[in-house]
Amino acid sequence: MASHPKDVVITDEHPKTLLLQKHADYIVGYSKKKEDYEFTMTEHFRMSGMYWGITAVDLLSQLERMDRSQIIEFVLQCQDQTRGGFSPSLGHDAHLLYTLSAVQLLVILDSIEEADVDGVVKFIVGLQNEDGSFSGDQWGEVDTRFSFCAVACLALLKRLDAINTDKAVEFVMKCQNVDGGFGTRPGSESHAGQIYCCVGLLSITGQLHRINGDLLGWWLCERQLPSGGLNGRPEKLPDVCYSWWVLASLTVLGRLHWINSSKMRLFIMATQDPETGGFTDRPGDMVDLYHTLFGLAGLSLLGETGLKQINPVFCMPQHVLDRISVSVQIMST
Amino acid sequence: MHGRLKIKTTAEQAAEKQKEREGKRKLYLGGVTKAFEKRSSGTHDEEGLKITAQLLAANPDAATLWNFRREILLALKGDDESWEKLLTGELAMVESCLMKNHKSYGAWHHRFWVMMNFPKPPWKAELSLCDKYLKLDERNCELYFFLVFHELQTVVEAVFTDPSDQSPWFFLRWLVNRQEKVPRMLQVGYVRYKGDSGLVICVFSQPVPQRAVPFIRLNGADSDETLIWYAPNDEDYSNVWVAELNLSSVEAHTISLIIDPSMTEMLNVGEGSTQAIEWVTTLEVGGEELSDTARSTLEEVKDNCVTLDELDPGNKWVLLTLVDVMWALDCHTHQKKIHSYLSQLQELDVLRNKYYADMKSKLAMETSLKQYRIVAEVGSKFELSGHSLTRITLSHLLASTASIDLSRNDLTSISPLSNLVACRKLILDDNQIQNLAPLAGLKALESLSLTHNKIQSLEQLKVLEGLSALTELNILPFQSVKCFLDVERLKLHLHKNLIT
Repeated sequence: MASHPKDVVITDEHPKTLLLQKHADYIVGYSKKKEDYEFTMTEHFRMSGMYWGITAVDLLSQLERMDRSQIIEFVLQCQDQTRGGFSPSLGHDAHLLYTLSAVQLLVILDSIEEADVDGVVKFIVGLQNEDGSFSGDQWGEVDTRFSFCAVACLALLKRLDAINTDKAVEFVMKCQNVDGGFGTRPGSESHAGQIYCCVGLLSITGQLHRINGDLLGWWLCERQLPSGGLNGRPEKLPDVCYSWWVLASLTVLGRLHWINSSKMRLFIMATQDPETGGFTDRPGDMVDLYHTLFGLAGLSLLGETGLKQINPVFCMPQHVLDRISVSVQIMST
Repeated sequence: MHGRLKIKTTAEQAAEKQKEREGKRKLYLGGVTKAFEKRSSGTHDEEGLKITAQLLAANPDAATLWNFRREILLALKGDDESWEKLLTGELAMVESCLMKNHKSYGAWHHRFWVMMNFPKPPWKAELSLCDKYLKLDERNCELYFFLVFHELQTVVEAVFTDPSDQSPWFFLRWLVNRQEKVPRMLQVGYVRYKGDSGLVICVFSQPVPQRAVPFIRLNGADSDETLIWYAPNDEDYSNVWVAELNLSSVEAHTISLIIDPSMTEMLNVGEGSTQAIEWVTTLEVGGEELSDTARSTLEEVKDNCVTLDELDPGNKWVLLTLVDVMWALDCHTHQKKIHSYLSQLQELDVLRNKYYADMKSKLAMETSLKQYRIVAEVGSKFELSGHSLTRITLSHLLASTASIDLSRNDLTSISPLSNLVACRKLILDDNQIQNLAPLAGLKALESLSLTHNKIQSLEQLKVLEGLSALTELNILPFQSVKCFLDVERLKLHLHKNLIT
C-alpha cells in the first residue's frame, strides 16, 4: 500500500536488536534518581511506575537488582488504613488504578499476605455500582478500566466471589460497539486500551464466548500500519504501548498471527533509545517506564529470546501467575 | 509522556535546562507540600484553591489534588447564587487545564462533577466546548455512529460520499458479521461407540452453559441415573454438550428431551442402531435470515461496489465490502468470487495476509457444511481435503459425523476437533499438526491417520492413550500400525521407524 498519512518511517539508524542490558540499567537507575524533575512530576502515579519498572526488570531476569524490602515497605505504607485501597504515593488518595498496581507488585514480590487483604476487598466491593460498573474512587468516575482493575485485583487475591461478576460482565458488554470493540462507557468510541481491559475482564471471568473473535480480531489487526507499528484507533499515529494493548488482546482472542510479527518487532526495536536505554512511544521521542514495560511485554508476546514469558491478561510475568495458580481463558482457534 | 520529541542539546544547553527544571521542581514540590499540609489540617480556603489551580495547570492528572479541590469547593458552598459563581469559575479553571492536556481524564471528570453540581447546569455552553475538543481530536466515532447510522440506506450513501473514511466500513462489517441473539438447539443425537456404551450429544448454535441442556427422559420415564453432561473442550460455555448413556443394543429406546414444559422432542434409538440423529431445527450456518429490506440494500451495495471495483481496481475497502456483502447474501453462490477477492486482498494488504487466509478457511468450511447438510445421510462422511485450510471453524456442526477427512491442508491447531465426539474415522494427513491433545476425548475414534505431520516423538502420542476404541493409527509416511493404544506396545511397533 502507498505511504500512510499518519505513520512513521523506520530507517537503518534505528536499533534492530534488543538492548537488554541498557534497559535493565535504565530501570534500576530511574529508581535511584529521586531528585529529578521527572521523578517529582510523576509522583501522582508512582505506584504504577514502580509496577511498570518491577515487571520490566523481572522480564529481563534482573529483579534481584531492585531493593525488594524497600519497595514492599513503600507499597504497604500506601494502603489506606480505613478505606483499604492503595494510593499512588504517600499523602495521595486511594484509587482502583493504584490498588491494582500495588496488588500486582506485592504478588510479584510474593508478599501479598503482608497487606490488609480484607481491606482491599472491602474497598473494591464498595466501588461497584448498581449497574455493575466500577467507580475509580468515592468521587464517582466510571470507566471500563476500573472494571478491569477491580476484577483483576480480586482474581489475584482469589476473592472474585466478593463482587457481582455477572453484573460486571453485563456492564462491560454494554460498552461494546458495532465495530466489535469497547469504549470507556456505553456509547463511547472503541479504543485499543479499553478493549484490552474489557477482553481481559471477560477472560478472567470465563466469558470470552460473548465476543465475536473474527470481528474484534480484525479491528485489532487493522491497527497495524505500514511501519509495523500499531495505533490505538483508526487514523491515529502508531505508539509502542499498543504493541501491548493490541497484541495482548489478539493473544487472548487466539489471533496473534493476524498481525505481521516481524514488522511489529522491527517497530518496537526502533523505539529503543541506545543512549539512555528504555523505550519511547515512537522512534526519536523521550523514553519512560510505561513504554519500556509495554515495549518489552509486546516483544515477550512475540516470543523474543532473552525475555521471560508475560501473561497477556495480567501483564505480569507468567511464572508469578503459575506460582499462585491463577489462570486465564484464551479463545481456542 | 506521549509524543515528547527528544532534542539533541549541547552540554551548556543541557545544564541550563537542568537548572530551569530544578527551579520548576522546587516550586511544584513546595506547592504540593503546602496543599497537603492544608488538607491534613482540614483547612478549606481560597488559598487552597489557588495553590491547587497552579499545580493542576502544570499537572492535570494529579487526581488527589482534584479531590482536595472538590473538598474545598464543598466546604465553601453557600447559597445558590454564590455556589453558581464558584462553579462557573471552576469551569474556566478546568478549561485552562484542558488547554495543557485535552485528554486528561482527571480534568474531564472534574468538569463533569462541576456540571452535575450546578443548580441549573449551563449545558449549551458545555456542548460548544465539547465540540471544540472533538475537533481537536479530529474524529469521533461515537457521535458519528449515532448521527449517521440509523438507517441502512444512509450507510450506503456514507460509503460512497467519502470512501476514504473508514467508519462506515466498520459498520457494514458489523452488519454482516452480527450473530443471532438467542442460541438455538441445532441437533441432538445418540451415538454408540462400543457395545452398549454410547453418548447423548446436544449441539447449539452458540456456546451455552450446561444449564441450557434440556432435561432428558428415557423410555417415557425419568431416568434412574442422572446424566452427567460435559463440554468436549472443558469450557464452561460450549456449542456441544455430551453425556454418557448406556443403552442395551437388543432393544429399541426413546429419548425424550424436555425443552420446556410445552415442548418435547423425541429421539428413537432402534435395535442395534449405532446412530440416531435428529436435527431439531433446520441448520443455518450464517445466523439469522436477512430481512427483505436488508437484502435489497445489500444487493445495492454489492452492485455499487462491483462498479467501483471496475472503475478503480485494487481498493482494499471496496474489496473488503464485497467480501462481507456477498458473504451475507449467500456465501455458497458467491464462493468463487469471495475467494478471489480474498486472494486479491492477500496481495494488496500483505500485513494482514494471515487474516485473509483464515477467512478463506472459514469460507471453505462454511460453504462445504452448507452443501454437506443438503446431501448428507445421517452419520455420513464429511470431506474438506486440499483447501489450504489454516484453521477449523464451525466444528460443532460435525459433532455427530462418523467420518471426517481434513487431509492436505495447512492446519497447525486442531483445538476445535475436540467437538468430533461421534467420529470413528479421522483423516488428518499432510498438515502441520503437533499437538494431539484435542483428540484425547474422542471416545468413538477407531481409525486415525496423521501421516506427514509434525509428529516427531512418542510423547506426542501419549495423549491418545485413553482412546479404547482406537484400533488403527497411521502415523508415518507409508506406515500403518494396528494397535490398541498401549504406549508400550506402540513403542514396540514404532521404535525403529518413528522419528522423521
